[in-house]
Amino acid sequence: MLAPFDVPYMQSALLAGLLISVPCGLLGVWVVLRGLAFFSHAVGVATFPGVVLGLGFPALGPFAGSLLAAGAFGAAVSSIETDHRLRGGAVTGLALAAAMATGAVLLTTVAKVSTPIESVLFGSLLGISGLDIVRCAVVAVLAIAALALTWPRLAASTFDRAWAAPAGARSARTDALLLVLLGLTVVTALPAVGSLLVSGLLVIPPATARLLCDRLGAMTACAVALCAAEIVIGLAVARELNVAPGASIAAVGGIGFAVAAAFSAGRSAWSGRAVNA
Amino acid sequence: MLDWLADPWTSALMRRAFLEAMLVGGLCGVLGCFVVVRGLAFLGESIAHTVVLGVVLAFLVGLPTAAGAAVLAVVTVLLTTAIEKDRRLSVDTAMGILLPSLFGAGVALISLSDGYRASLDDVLFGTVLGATETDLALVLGASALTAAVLALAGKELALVAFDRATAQAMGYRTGLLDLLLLGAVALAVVVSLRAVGNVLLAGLLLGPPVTARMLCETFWRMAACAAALGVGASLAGLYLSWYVDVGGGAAIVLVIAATFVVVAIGVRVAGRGARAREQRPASDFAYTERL
Amino acid sequence: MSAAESAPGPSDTVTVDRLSVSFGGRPALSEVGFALTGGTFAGVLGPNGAGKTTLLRALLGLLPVTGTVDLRGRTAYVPQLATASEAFPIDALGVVVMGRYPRLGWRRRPGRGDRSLAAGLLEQVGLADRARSPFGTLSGGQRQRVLVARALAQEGDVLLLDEPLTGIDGPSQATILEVIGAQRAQGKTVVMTTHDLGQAARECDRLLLLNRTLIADGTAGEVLTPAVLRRAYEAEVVMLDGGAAIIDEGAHHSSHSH
Repeated sequence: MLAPFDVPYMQSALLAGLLISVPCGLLGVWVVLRGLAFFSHAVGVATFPGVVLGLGFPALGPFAGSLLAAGAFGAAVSSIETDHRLRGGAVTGLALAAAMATGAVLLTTVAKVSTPIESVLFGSLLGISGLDIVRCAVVAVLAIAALALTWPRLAASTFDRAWAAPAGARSARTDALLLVLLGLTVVTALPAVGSLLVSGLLVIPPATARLLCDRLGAMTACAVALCAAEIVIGLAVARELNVAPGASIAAVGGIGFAVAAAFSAGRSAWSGRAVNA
Repeated sequence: MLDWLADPWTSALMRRAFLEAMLVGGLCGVLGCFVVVRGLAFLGESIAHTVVLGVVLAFLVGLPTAAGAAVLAVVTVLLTTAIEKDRRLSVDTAMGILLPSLFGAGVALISLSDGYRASLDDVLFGTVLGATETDLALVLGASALTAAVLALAGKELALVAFDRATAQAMGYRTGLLDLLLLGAVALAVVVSLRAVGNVLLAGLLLGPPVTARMLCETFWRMAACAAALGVGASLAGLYLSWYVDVGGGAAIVLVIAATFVVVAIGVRVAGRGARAREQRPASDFAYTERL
Repeated sequence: MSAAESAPGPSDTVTVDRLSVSFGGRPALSEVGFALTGGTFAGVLGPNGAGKTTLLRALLGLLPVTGTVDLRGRTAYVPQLATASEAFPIDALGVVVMGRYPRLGWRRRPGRGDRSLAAGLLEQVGLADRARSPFGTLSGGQRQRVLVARALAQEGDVLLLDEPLTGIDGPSQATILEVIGAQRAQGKTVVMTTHDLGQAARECDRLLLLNRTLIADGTAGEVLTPAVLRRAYEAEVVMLDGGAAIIDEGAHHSSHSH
């Protein structure tokens, strides 16, 4: 597989990709187990106007712009989603459409952007800079450190929140930490996969891993490995076929999931609703 | 003043755009109420994206793109159900798998097929300002079909949305009704995509219902209110795009979002509803029509 | 009879005085007071919505309350079965090992001693052979036993269980009651909510009949009389021969297991 990676820009993409697969796999496990896929997708989409603004005003830059947008979005949605009348993600859905609309309007008005919109939405092989690689490394280290410290709390709160809270797991604090890490990871992955396909990295590998592993530790290791594999293959496909890397990575991931699903379809222990004594 | 209001209507293009947008706004407003009540926002958003794959495939084999979209909508729903059957995975996860993989495949295909490449912007943001006679025909057809479905089975669909257990106990074929509803939603999504594009569709489908929910006590009033909001926002949005030169779909969604924010603030400030509804759980939504 | 001590006695492990809890202006518990000693097995009874779960959560310190709750020692909680996720990738042994964290601190990794302790507890609830089975593949009764073993791993002094016997198979119920008995013998205090009056009468030595207020507090003979039950359930109580009672809580409540 050395052929697609024989040029410097592909090697940059590969390095960034391998680095980002670590936080994506580690956090993705919790995205799947806690039902945060919609939220992750929404945060990804919400960065779009921030990136556009950042590209239009170089003093800001796309990274800072996306960080601001992700933060604003997270804050707005979490304050609204606590209202039980509006549950089910409807407000999140409206917010992400509004974010896209804002980005579209910005594109045609204040922010004169030379970067093609395709790169912003679906990633670009050429758009991964040395600084992006550094950011991937930093987020990887942050994620490993933070999750290593809070892993048991996360596991307990996710498995049985009613038990974990009185047992001292500090569920609310770990929730917040998870969301912050998620935002950081999404923002860091944007140059590679773009705003619209970020959940391809955060949801598909851990979901596939869940089909293959029945214990958290194995599932996590598997998720990171699958994420890395999906990125490597996806990048190669993106170069060979000249398509956006976000698209090829997500499509490859989907194929991987389908294979694992077919493989584990026979395990009837998990199909259908729960069996009661 | 009258000139200002009448000006856009002098353009045939805009007349078609107004008609298409208002129909789409009303259609999505009503069906979106079911989506919101059932908590299917992510499903609606996912279908809006995954159908792109169907559109491209249909284009490549020479079939009408709406057919391809319809097929993918159905496929998405079926795959979601299949994935969710596995107790290890949730509906949320299923959507998180299907949206990027199918949409990603679609986007990749668009890149590979030169004929479609130029239209990526249209796919994403819609072409309401370039509405054709075909578009209008499709939307009219879908609206008529939906109106018929609601006239025949609206009460049953609403009951299943609110209290599935009672509906089953009363003998309704809830599985069939679910399919009917999902079919109607998929239809609305497919015809509305041409107008607003897939990244903005969620705004049209979810915004008016969620706003109406804050203002209305019963389901059918909520639906009527949402339809009105959808139609009004489409009208206002297109005026905006005519005078300010922004994309039609984007303008409509921004009007919807602004309306939501204004109503949300207004409701909170007025105190109306906030304290009264605190006593009532989310599912206790007054459904007063008796069957 | 609802005698309540206002200050903890020397042997009281759980003392509650004038406990009130309200949610958004609506009172869920009102001036509840009682005291339990070590080795007591108390059953908390009452109709749906009476505040049984709320009482447990108040005892655990999870809710803002007025009045006092005084607990001597550590608590261990077995929440209702529905709260545990069946999709989570963990096996039975892993669940019980999780119970060690409150003792170890949430940063320490459980060691071999913790794992063998957990294995022993699984044996105590009769699931030694299912130690490596994924939690989600176990039956309802097996899962409930695992959650009880998790609570035992916490080595608490006060064991609080929320409807642990509801809807699970007979043998699992028997095992759980055996475990409770062993805990009592070690001087632990056990508080269990239930809606099975007959079972509570048979197994508990103290009954607390709750319907927002503490209607009655005493032995089965004192609490399960028609007059008292009528006050608590606010419904028709029909006494059958042999001391059995039928309580009609109205059309909107589902029937209970007897």
